[in-house]
Amino acid sequence: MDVLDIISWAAYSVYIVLWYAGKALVVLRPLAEPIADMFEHAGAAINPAVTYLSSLAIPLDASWINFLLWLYLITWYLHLWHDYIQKVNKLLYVISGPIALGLVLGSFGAGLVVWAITLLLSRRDYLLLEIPGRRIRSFKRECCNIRYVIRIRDVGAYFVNAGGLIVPLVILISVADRIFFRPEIQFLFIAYFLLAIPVVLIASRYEKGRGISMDPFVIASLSALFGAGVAGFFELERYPTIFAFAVLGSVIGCDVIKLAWGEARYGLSTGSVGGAGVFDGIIAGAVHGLIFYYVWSLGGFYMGTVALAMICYIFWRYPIAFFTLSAAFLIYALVAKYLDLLPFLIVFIVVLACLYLLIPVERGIRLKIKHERLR
Amino acid sequence: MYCEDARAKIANICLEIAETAASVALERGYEISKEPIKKGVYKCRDTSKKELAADLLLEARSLWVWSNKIGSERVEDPSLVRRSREDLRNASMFRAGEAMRLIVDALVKDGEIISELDRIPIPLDLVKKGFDDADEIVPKKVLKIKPEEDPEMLMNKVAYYCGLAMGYVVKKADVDENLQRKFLRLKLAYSVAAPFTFGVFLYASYLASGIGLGGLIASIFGVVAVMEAFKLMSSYIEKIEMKIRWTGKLDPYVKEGISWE
Repeated sequence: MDVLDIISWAAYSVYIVLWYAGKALVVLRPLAEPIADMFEHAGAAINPAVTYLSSLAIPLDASWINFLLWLYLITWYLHLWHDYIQKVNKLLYVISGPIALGLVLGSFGAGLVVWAITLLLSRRDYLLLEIPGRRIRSFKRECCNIRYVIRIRDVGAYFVNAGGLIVPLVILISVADRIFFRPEIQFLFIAYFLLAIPVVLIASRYEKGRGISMDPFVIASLSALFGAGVAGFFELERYPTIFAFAVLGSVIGCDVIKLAWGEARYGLSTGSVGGAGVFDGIIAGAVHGLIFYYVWSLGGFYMGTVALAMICYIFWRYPIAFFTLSAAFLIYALVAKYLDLLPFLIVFIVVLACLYLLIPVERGIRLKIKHERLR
Repeated sequence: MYCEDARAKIANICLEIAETAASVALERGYEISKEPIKKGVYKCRDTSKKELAADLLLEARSLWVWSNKIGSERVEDPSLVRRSREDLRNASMFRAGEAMRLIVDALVKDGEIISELDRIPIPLDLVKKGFDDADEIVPKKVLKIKPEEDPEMLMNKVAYYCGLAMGYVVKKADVDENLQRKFLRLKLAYSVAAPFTFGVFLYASYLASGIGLGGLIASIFGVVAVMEAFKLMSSYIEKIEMKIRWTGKLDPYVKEGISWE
């Protein structure tokens, strides 16, 4: 079986799953319609109250908005350095969230309301599924002249977080009409999953009892680049497309495939999908992707500095990926005969490599002191 | 028991050593964060002792329930037949003692007040009250213990919780067969209904989409409301399960159970 066979088999499997999902939706429609009517009635009742809020808009070309979102990205890319930058970044994330959601929902007011609801619901976890496992671990105990064995059975208890999963899913569903229903888009989603899911699987780490940990940067950059490209080519709304790519990539890649893989390999455990609420990778990746695309599209100073900070971030966080990309760029520059770019690229890569070897950021002086003590 | 200064000093030394170990791991290329280590060093008393105490109570109850089964016809395990009821009860009380020691430790907020406890008489009424109040949810109550600063309040709480712990381990409890059947049915219904309803409500929110911000908010709260209802149902099922386990119909050691060597 060669690579093409695997890709075609995977694409066919995804297509079959989607086909059956479509059939299931048809069967469930009579059940869902009365509930949808209730939602519509409730929505119609709420709408007058929130009309003012949904009309709230802020001029997106305002320099302070651009600066705020730029600062969020810069502090994100530099947050490996110092703890206090992480704290500033968290604060900026909470402030930038409504703007990012506003880009998807159409107005800042709508983003603000939904963001407030997300923050409110961040601590609510609901048990969705419980699976008794087959694996039993035994611990021998001895006490008062008797010996016995305590047996602990693996149980998989999966929770869903209201702020971390339900809200992004409902937002995704509410904008689905604007992006999904063209046949070529569905195939592009399959193509995206075939590209994104292997990357997500490699970049994420399964931690038993805690869930999946992954840098939201990975899914954010993938969704921003792919979503913006697709949306530009097919004249779709860019921000909802990026949001959809980011949420579905995280949920399917991390919380379904990687979790299932981890549980099958290491035994069942308890976990919450979107458990960190508003700071979880699902919504954080989407917000990051939206802001990244927004700042990137500003061009000029914003794009240049963000690109530089992003390169540094990839360099520190993923040195192998960085050097692979660098080698690819160098070869491309040679093949395409961009010879005037070559010296710059070489000097840039060498300087970063020297920095990596010479400047012990964060592990630096304190580590040296500890080493002195250890000796 | 250490005084507060000694505790703080031990925590500081522990943090120093833990940070050194973290630095060594960092130097070897392992990506770890130091902040959670610091939190762990300073917060361990608040959480892990309570969890351990709750686990020990379950273990003690399990041993006690097994001790009651010795001599009965229902016990077929030949390895258990060799144990005497007294051995098992001794082991059970040993674990209960460990649990009570941890409960007291979790209740003490400030080591300075420990010396003042000597002059306060043990409130027997509260011990009795705790024993009488003991039911299946004692391990959960133990997990919610909050440290106490005032010596008299501390003594009252210590007395009450020790009474609860003792009552939980030794009190007789029974449950009718219907409740056991109801529990199994409810659990099965929940495991099917929760994911199914979640999916249907998400689908309904899709069908209701396109009616503006009000519709979006209604959909979010609709899905959350139904999941809240399921949360209530799940806590009810958990309560029944705890009751059945406390009575010994299922092994009280909830994680799976105890067997014999």
